Amino acid sequence: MKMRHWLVSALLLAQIGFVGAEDEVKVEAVGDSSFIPLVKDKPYMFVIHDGNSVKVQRVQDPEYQLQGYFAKTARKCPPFCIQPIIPAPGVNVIGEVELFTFLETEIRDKTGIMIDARTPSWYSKATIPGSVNYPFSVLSKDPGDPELEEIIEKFGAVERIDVGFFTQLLERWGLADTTYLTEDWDFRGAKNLVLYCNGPACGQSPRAINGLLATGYPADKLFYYRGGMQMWQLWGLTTVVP
Amino acid sequence: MVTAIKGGECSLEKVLRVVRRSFIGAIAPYVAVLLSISAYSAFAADDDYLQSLEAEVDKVEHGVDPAVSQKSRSEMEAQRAAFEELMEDQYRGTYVFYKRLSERSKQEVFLRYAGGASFKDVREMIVDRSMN
Repeated sequence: MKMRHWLVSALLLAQIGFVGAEDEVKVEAVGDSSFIPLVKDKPYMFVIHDGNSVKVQRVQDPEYQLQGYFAKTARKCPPFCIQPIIPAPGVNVIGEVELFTFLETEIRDKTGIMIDARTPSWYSKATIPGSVNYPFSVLSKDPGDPELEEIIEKFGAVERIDVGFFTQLLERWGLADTTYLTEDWDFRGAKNLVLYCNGPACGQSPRAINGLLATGYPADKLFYYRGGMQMWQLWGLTTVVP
Repeated sequence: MVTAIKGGECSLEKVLRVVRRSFIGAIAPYVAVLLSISAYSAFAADDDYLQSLEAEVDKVEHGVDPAVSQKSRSEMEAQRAAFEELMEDQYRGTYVFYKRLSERSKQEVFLRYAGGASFKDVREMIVDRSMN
């Protein structure tokens, strides 16, 4: 009896192993060749937004053209000036493909957060599925501001309160590893954050990024999606109205 | 300065201290004014920016974009069909196992995925359900 059980298990495991290898082979995108996928071999994806699963894909109408506010090529500058690619030294800059990966992995695994850094009135119009709204006006507050501190904790940082005298000494002398540690915060468990706003001519997310950096949030845990709402919609990607 | 001399102890140190104090005392109001002006202008700049943003947001049309996902559209059944289609396309092996599950297990798997689980978790769940 035991022997039989082992045999069945071995056969099942062999099948699973085979299946696992097969899964690595990505099948060509949806049969219809006119289907416009997100990227090659990825027709669409599911993203959790506010507890609901949202299917993210591109507009399939080949004649579709972006219209309305985000099709505008000119805005008053200042304040709506074209932003540099890099908002601050050390901050990662990403595009749509990297954002898809972030949404599929880090958001689902809860190791990352995607932040719509616009004011609530902008956010309420439409946003990218999977995002949460933390306005730049809050994220750029004084580093000691209680509201900001509360948010930083939500991002996974831990306030350093009772740091021992010897630990302090060791850190000061460079004898202890201080990567992701500041005087006030322990950012070792802090999540990766993607920040975006209206697009390349929007200063809201760069301000938020600089606000977070002022608290000591590690630059390499910050990701700037400069394309923002404008580029997202230019590609005909799904948005949600919160 | 005069006070120091009147005190009778006219040391150089004291004189310097009084000069320093009177200098700081003299420029303190100007420094305060300058600081408050710069702080005010920073706040004013922030306010201006926020006002510009609020004026701009009115120009955005609400929900005219065909790419906007209306919540009514995202019904469970349609989502489950799309989830199965995605699995069949990209994780065919897992899909073979999934197809063999009972309807109840399939629904549980879908709900796990819809609840935010990664595909790795979903695959483990399917294998687990298949073996037990």
